[in-house]
Amino acid sequence: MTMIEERGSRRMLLLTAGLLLTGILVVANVLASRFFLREDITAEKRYSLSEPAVRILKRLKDKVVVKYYVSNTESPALQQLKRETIDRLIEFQMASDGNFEFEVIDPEPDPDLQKTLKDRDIVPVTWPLPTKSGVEFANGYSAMTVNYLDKKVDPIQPYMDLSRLEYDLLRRVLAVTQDEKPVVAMYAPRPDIPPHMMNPMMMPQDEFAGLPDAFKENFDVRRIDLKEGSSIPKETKCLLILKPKELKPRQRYEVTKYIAEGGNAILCLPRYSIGSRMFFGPLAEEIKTGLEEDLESWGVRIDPEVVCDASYRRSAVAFMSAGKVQIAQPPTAIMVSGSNLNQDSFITMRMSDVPLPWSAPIRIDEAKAKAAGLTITPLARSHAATWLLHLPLEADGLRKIPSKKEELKPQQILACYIEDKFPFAFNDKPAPKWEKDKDSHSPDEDKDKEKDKDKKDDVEGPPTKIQSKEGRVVLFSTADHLNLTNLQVDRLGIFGSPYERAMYMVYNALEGFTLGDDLIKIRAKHYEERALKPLEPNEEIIWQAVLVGAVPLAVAAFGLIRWLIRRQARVLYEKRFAGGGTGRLAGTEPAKGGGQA
Amino acid sequence: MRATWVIFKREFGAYFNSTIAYVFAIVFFLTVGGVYVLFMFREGKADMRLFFELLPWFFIWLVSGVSMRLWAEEKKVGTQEVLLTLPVTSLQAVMGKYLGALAFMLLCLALTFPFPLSLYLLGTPDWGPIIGGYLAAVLVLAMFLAIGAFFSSVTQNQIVAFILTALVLALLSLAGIPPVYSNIMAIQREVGEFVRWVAVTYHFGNIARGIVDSRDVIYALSLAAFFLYLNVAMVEGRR
Repeated sequence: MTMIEERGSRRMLLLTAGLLLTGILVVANVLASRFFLREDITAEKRYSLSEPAVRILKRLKDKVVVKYYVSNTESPALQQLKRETIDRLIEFQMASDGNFEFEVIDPEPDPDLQKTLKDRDIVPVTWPLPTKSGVEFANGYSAMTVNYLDKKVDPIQPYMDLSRLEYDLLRRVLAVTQDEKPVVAMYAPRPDIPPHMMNPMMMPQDEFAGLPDAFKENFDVRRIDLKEGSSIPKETKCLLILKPKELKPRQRYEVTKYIAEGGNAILCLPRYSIGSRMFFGPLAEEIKTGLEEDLESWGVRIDPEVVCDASYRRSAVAFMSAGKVQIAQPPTAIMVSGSNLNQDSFITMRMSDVPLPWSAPIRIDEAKAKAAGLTITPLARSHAATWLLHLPLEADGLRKIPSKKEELKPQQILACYIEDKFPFAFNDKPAPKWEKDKDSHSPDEDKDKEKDKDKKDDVEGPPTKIQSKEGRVVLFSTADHLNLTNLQVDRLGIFGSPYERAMYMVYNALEGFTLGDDLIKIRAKHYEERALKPLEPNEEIIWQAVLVGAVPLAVAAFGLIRWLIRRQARVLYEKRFAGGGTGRLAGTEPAKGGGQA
Repeated sequence: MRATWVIFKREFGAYFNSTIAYVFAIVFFLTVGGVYVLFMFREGKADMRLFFELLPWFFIWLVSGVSMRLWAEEKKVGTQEVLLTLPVTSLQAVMGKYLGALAFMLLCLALTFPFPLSLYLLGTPDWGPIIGGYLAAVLVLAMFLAIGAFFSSVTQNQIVAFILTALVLALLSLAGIPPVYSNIMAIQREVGEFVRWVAVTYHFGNIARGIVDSRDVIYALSLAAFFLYLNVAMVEGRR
C-alpha cells in the first residue's frame, strides 16, 4: 500500500468513525431524554417525593389521571416550571404502581378546550417574558385537574409553585378518591331572637350560617344543635365548635367524649361576648363556654381578657349596627404574621398573616399537659407590643394604648394545637341527661330544674367507660376570624383578603384531620433556612480579603518561587555548559581549571 | 496508554512553567473570589448556588486562556511534527494533552476550596448542592476544554485560538439566557428549543441546585466526545 493510499484509507476510517460517533451521541441524547435517572442530592431531599407521598400513591386502587394544561409560551419561567413539573409528574407515575397517569396538554390551539377550561375557571395567567427592551408579559396556561371516574375536584389554578405541587396534587387525589366527602359536624349556637322583635333589620345575625356552604366543595358540613336527636354524627371526621355559651353537662359530655375517643376537633372558644354598640356602653363582657374545666385538665386555660396589639393597623373587624356592616380598626383587630405564626405546623405553615380579632390569652401549663399525656404546640402569638384589657370592657377602653413598656405583655398565645390521649371527665360516670328544648317548656320549669340539679335522675344509663385514643384539637380563643361578616370586609378590598386566609387556616386543619396523617406530614414538610451567622463589619472585611486574595497570592508566590528556582537552575546550567566548567552551587569552591560563563 | 501518560505528564508540568497560565489562573481566582464574596455577604445564605450559576462565565476566560496553547503553540514552534513522528497515535496525543490541561484546570477548581470552607465555618451548608455544583463544574470544564482544544488545533495563532474558543463558549452560555432563545423561539420554535437545549446554563442549573440528571451528564459528555473527535480528526489530517 502506498503512502497516499494509506492516508486515504485512514481518512475514510476517521470519517466512518466520526459518523458513527455522531450517530451514537444523537441516539444517546434522544434516549436519555426519555429514559433518564434523576438523583436529588440535597440533604432534605428538597426536589424528591417524600415517603408519605409515595405511600399515598401506592395506596391508589384505581387510575387517577392528572391533566397538566400548559402553554408553549416563550416565557422562560413557565418553560422551566413545565420541565421541572413534568419530571416530578414522572416521579409520581413511577411511585404509583401504574395508578397515576398524566397528560400534558397545550390548550392554545384548541378553542373548544379553552372554552371547557374556562367553565372550570381555568384561564391563562401572565408570565414574565424578558425581551431586548426589558421585561414584557405573556399570557399562558398553567393549571392541573385531577380526574377520577366521573368525580370532580377543584383544579390547581393557577399552578405556579413547584414546591407546593406534592401537597396540592395529593390533597386533590385523596379528596377525589374518597368514597364520600368527610363529615364535619359544626356546632354554633343560633342567635337568640328576642320576643316581639319586629324590625328584621335589627335582628341578630347568625354569624356562621354560611360556613357549611364555604366548605361544601370538599366536606359534608352538618350543622348540629348538640341536643337529643341532633348530636355528633358517628361518621364525623372533625368537630367544629364555634362560640359556645355555657354548654350543658350533656353537651360537654358529648364533646369531650368525642375528643377522648380519638376525634379531631376545632374549638373556637371566645371568653367574652362583643356588643354591637362599638363606641357606646359596655362593649365586651365575660362569658363561659362550659369547657373550662376540661381545658384545665388538658393544661390550657383561656383567660377572660381582651388581647390588643400593635398589628391592628393592617386589619379591621366588621360588626353589625342598625342592620349595616360597619368596619373599624380597634386594637383588637389582631393580625398575626411572620414568625408569630408557627411555620412548622401543617395548619399555619406557609401562611404570611392571619387575622385573629377579639382573641383572649391562652395560658399553657406545660407540667399539667405533660401529666395528662398531652402535647401542646402554640400556633399563633400576638405582636411583641401586646397589651391586655380586663372585662367588662367599655368602648372607650380600646382607646387606651399603653405608652410604657412595662404595660406590654408580648406575644400572647392566641391559638394552639393539642394532641395525644385526652382525659375524659365523665369516665366511670353515667352520662348526664339531655336538657329539654327551651321552646318546649316554660321559665318556671327551668327554675324547677335548677332546684333538681343535684338529683340522681339528671343522669342516665350505665357508667361510661372509654379507652382514650389519640385525638387532636385546634384551640382558638376567638371565633371572630370565621365570622362571615368579616369576609365582607375582604370583599370591599380595603385590607386585602385576611379573613379568607383565616378560612384557609381552618381549611388546612379540616383537611389534615380528614384526609389522613400522610397528608399532614406532606403539608408539614419544611426546609431549613441555612443562613450565615452574623458577622461584625471588621470580621466581614477580613473574610472578604481572605476569600478574594489568599488563593491568588498563594498562586503568585508559588509561581514566583518556581520561577526563581528555575532561573537559578538555568544559570547553573549555563555556567556548566556555556563556560565549559563543571558548574557549582553558590558558595562552593570553583573546580580547578573551571572558567566563567 | 503509556504514551498518553507521558504526554499528560509533560503537558501538565508545562503549565507550571507558563507565565500565561499563572496570569489566567490569578485573574480567574480574583474574579470568582470577588463575585463570591459579593453574593455571599449580600444574600447571607450558606449556599454556593449563585457562584455555580455564574461559574461557566468565568470558565470561558480560564479555558480559552489555558487551551489556546495546546496545539497552536506546537504548530507555531514546529514541535507538532516531532510529536507526530513519535510512536503515538493521534488519539493518544489528543487525550494526553487534553487530560493534562484538564488536570491543571481541575487543580484551579480545587483551589476554590476556601469558599465551601468559609460556608462550613460561618453556617451549616447543605453539602448536596455544593457537591453537585462541583460535579457540574467538572463536566462544564471537560466540555469547554474539548471545544478549546479543537480550536487550538485549527490555527497556529494562539490569539486566534483564544478568540475563537471564547466566542463559541460565550455563545453556548448566552444561548441559555431567556431573551436569546425566546426571541429565536418567536421566529422558529424548533430552532429556539434546540438553541436552549444546547445552552450550558440550561443543563447545569439543575445540578447546581442539587439534582443530578443523567440527561445533563450525557449532554456534557456527548459534546466533549464530539469535539475531541474533531480534534483527533484535525491532528490526523496533518499526519
